[in-house]
Amino acid sequence: MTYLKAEIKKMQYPDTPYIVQNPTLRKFFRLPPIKKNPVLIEGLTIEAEKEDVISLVGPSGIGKSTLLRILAGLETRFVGNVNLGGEAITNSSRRIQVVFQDNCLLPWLDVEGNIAFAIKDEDHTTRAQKTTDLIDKVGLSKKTKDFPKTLSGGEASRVAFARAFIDPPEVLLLDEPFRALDTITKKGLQDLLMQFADEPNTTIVLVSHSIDDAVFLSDRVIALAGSPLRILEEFKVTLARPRERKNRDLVELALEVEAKLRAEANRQNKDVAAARG
Amino acid sequence: MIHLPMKRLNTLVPWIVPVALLGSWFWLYSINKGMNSFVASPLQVLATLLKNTSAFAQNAWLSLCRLFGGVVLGTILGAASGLALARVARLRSLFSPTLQTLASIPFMVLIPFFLMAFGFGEVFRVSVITASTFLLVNAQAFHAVRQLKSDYFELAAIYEKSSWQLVRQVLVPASLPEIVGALRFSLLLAWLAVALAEKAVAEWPNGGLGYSILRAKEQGQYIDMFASVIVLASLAWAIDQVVGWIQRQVSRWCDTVEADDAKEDQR
Repeated sequence: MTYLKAEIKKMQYPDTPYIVQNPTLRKFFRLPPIKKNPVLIEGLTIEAEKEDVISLVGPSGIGKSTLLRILAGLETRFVGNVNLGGEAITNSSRRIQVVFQDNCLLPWLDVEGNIAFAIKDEDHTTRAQKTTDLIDKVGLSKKTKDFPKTLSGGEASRVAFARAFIDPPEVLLLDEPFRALDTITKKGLQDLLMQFADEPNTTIVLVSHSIDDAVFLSDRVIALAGSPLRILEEFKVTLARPRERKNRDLVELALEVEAKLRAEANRQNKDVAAARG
Repeated sequence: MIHLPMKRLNTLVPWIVPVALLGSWFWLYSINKGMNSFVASPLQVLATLLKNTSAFAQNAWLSLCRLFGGVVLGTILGAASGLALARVARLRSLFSPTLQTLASIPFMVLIPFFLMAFGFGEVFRVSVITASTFLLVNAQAFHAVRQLKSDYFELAAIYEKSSWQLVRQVLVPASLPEIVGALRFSLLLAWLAVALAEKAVAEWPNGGLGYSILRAKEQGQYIDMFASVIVLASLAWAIDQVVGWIQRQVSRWCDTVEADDAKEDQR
């Protein structure tokens, strides 16, 4: 039995109700034709074992973030189910935590407060101790009292990571965590992530635009295609950790994934062109 | 030439306009002297203030108590109800249309209803001030919460925050800058509410500052009227300074020009 399994049979937002349904009347009043909401996801299954690191790659706007929200229990408007360790996930909880695309720090809390926000009821001293430890670990001890508005992108990401790991979750979902970071900061954060992933045995699901990052970090890379969202191909990364970034196998695999995605993009473009006539 | 340090000059800048206004008051008095019955010179007003200090102080104290009671009550009720309306759809559909209507009419037309409900007395006066503050703070607190990113609520859900924790750790701190801003703005209305409420009860000598202004005006005692106005203005200014300070404290995290300026000032 797999540890984390998401089975999405179908996802389609309910249609907006129209007051005027009759097509003849709509034509008479010059109303636009009724648009059906598109099927976003159909027949998609994602599985992960404990300790797995998996990456979801694919072009923007195909629903990767929605998929992540489904895994987190934040989105329930779909047919299917998400299972974690044999239990159905129907709402969000601290078992599955998320590092949001924009980090989602609470602007009215300082660095310390943002990290402590994730701690479940504990006495004051333990909270303070845990927070200080983690702030040291992510190297922000000089910024404990700073508000998010003064933090750089990399610092904000580090706070978001620290918040996700102060009470380590069973599954960590990351939505583009390395977006808009310089190479050095990015590498530092990736090392941090691997270090965190190793210790409390958290399962990690990562959405990424960078195929190189995805291949470097993951055990499996899942290439996705859109409308409706489906799996193009799964790539296994067998190289043992610690890995070297410039490893030839990794580079080749990244090229392979990219070729697959490019072929799909070309095919879709052709379809669109054909549909236009 | 006298060489003044720049910093000291800067602290003088805010006084230029008040001093100019005072000067123009002297000038207006000098050209109208003897022509009208309503002319009063600043010096006459000052003399009255010094002579009847205790009477003015007593009236000011009474009005201040009413203002404080009404504003504090109105802010607490307004903030609490605003947050509740913002989060509970059913409450919103029940109360929001009525509240919006009440907020859009001048609140002085409500005064007769308050008289009917509470009679001529202290409860009435405080309730009018409470109502004027309530409507403003309610609307601001409501909008502050409605404009929060939905991510914050998702974050709270992930970390399994209870409703009470959500209120304490998200809703209140996030809306506090706007609530205090509304409170500051509502103080302008509250002083008007004080005067109107005191006028409606018309009690002497415990009428309060607002009543003494209107009474002096009706009796043609313009020196007394100006004196009361000066006392009221000074109080309003002082209270605004205090609330402004509180506003800066609770807005330190905001990513706004004002918060940045406040930080500059601290240096």
